[in-house]
Amino acid sequence: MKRSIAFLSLALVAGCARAPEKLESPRLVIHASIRDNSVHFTMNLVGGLRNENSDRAFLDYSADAVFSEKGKRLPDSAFNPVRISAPAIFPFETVPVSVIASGGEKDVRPLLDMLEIDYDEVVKSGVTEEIYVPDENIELERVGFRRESIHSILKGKAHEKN
Amino acid sequence: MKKIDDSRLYLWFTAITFLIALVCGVIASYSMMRVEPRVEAMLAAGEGAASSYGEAYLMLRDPQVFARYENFDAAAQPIKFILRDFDRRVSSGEGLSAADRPYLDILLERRRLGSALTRNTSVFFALLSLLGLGMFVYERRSLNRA
Repeated sequence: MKRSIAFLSLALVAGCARAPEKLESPRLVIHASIRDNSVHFTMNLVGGLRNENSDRAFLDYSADAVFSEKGKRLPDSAFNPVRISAPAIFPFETVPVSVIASGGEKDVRPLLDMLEIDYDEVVKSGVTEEIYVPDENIELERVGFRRESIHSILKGKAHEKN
Repeated sequence: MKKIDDSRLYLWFTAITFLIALVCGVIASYSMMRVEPRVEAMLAAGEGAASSYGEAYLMLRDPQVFARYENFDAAAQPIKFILRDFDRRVSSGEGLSAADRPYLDILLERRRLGSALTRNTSVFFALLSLLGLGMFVYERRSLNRA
């Protein structure tokens, strides 16, 4: 009984101001280039961070975007995890975020395997198409932010102006 | 046959519904008699008075408890676009202009709807409370007669 009450209270408190917990419409492009006789890869991951609260803003938001397959995290590399950040996410806003990471063959292989993309094809063409990453293959970890009432932000700004 | 005394039940029912009616009444009155006239005055002052639109938006940004912005139905989704745009502009110090007046009127209208809903809820619970009081008096009388 006590446990259910504690869980319910926690759910209520957490539900009051939920921070963005996932990357909206995550997609990426991988470029391949030859540098010093070896293939070099650059990944550009883009997506959105949505704040569904009506009166809470999230400031200095940052999180690790972690790739995983069948619930198992891909090995750590230059592409996994990557840190995303947004200076401010206001109520009802979806802030676009973009992160660029670079690495070699060893780094990119697990990612290409997860997305079922042929490695040789990427090297040959030099760039992939824009690939949508399924929600089950990407999650946010080590989320950090400051939560502030939008009313106090606006009020502070109005007084500053006056 | 002994008659069961329900008067205590009616008394509690009356007290609780009266309390809800009172709380809703106070909330509705505060919004209708204090907040809304002030916002109207600020909007009427227009651009001439420095930052009156900004001040009006600040007041409207703190929503009426029965008309919280996340509770709006699909038809009111555009409200979220207004808030998103105005929040960014006010926080960046850009301020609001006469062109924004229609949007502020929409927010004020939403607040009025929330106040009306709170007032109607208060009246509903006051009627329930009256009904409970009537039942209480009737129960006491019938017990005294028995």
